[in-house]
Amino acid sequence: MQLSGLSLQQAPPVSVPFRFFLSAPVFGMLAAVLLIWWGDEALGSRWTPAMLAITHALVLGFFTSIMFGAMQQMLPVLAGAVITRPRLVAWLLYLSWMTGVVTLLLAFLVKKSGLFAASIVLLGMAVLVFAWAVGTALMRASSQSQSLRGMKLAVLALLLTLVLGMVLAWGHTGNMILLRPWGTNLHLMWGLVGWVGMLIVSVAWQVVPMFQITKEYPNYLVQWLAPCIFGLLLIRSFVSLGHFGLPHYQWLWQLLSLFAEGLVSLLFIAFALQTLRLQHYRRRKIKDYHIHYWQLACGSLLLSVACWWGAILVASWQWPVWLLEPLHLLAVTFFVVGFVMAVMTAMLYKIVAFLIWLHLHNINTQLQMAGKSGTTVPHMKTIISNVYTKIQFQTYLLALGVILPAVLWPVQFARLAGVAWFIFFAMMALNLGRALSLYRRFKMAS
Amino acid sequence: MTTIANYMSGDHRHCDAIFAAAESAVDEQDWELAKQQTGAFLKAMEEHFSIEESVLFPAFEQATGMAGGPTQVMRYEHQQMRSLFAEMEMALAETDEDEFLSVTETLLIMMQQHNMKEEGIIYAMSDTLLGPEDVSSVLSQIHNIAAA
Repeated sequence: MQLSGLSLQQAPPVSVPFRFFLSAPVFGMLAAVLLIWWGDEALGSRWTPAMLAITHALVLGFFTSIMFGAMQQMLPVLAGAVITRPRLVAWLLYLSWMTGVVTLLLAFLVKKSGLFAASIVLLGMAVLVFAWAVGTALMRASSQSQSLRGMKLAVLALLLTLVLGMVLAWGHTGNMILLRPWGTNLHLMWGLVGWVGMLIVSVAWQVVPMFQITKEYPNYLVQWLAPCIFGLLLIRSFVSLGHFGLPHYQWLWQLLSLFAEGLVSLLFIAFALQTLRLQHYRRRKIKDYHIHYWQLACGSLLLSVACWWGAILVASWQWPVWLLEPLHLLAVTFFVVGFVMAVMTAMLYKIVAFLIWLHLHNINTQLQMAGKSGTTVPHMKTIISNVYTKIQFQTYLLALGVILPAVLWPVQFARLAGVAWFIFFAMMALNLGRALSLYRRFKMAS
Repeated sequence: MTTIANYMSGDHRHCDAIFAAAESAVDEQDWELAKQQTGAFLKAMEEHFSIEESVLFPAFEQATGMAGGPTQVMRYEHQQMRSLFAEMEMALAETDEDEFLSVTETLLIMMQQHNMKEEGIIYAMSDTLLGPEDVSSVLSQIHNIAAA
């Protein structure tokens, strides 16, 4: 058992996670603006420059930024380990990440090979800083928390996604062939299912029982889900390489691919159903939008799996072929803006309000210890009021409601979907910004 | 065999259950029940804190030689929760539903992140580092406090 480095310190400085949390909705708004600007042209195929810029603005700029901030924050709680020199790490990570994401988005839109090369360097640097800082803290972890194994695998998946992304970006520079579509499919799989999916599942083991006071997830699921997904993604990756290198064994690759995708699907179905079951029997029954986000997330995850298998069936029957592309798009849409977005939004609201309360409370305690008169610290529901949480949820329902028809009928709905998502992200930026300005006012006054 | 982790984590779940019952009672504006449940919750929490502060943390500090580290953070968090308990009681006395549920929202996360650290680290490490004899001595002291 490792004792050196054991720390249960409450939190890194407020600026460490908040710079990531506040930048996230800005990238969300940027994605929405791109959708409004390009309209149905963006959704025409998965390879359009606008589509690539929008998906990367969401997945890197929004999701991964939040995950970077949250992981730096949660390590002492989950692992009993802190990141050494948190401010320096946060600055290095933030600067390289933000400039890297912006450069990549520009590279997609203006197709300049120099920009692709620059984004490879910047994003590579950021992910290495993150993996080094968080990875060493995870390795030092003293905790027995079940989430840790999944988190380590998720960070590994992020590294693989990055390497694949770098190879693809290098292809965009024209210095090698662009490995489409199989390289892109692997990149997508490791990024969405590996990094984002495994991280959400691993965090869920802790936060679902914690926020709604439910029973724990069954042990077999907690122990095996993330390692199995990781192993199956490895198998699926070898299948892709096999297809490429040994094209004569088609039947073998198809069988292995069905096996890997089938089991990953079953594991996600088990996760979604189990989460819904636990929440149904939760002890905490008071009104809370948090639970609705989780219900939407689990429903979307199930629909995403259904669309994925729908596409597999259509592909094998070769009928009705026109459904193939929409089913693929819907599967990814349900996963990204249904499952992941709902969970992230729900978590972000709780984390931000709690962190501000925690830091304000600490300031107040220090004041009192210094013999000064303290003041009343606002609670979470004052920091972000119920009214704004409700409006945020309604804007999410609207945005989700419009993006689904937009995928199927882009000409009619694409720009409308862009507007709905802009409202959603703007509302989020406003709420988070308001919470942070409350913190600043309080801090200045004290 | 009962371990410190089993017993103390079980006590967390027990406190969580009364916490949820108190919140539900306030949500349904059943103030009589809310008073009972809140009283039971605060009593259970104080007993739990007292077990940790007087028995478990000193044993952990002795076994690890870490007097100023993790247990100090845990003690500080107990104080933070105690200040929220006082606010809960105040909201209850004023039958202010919004204020009560606002305090409990904050308390819930404070309490859960605290529990996570204790269950994942302090309890688990105590079981490993103390050895079977000291573990059973700590457990019997815990039972004495709980029975008192």
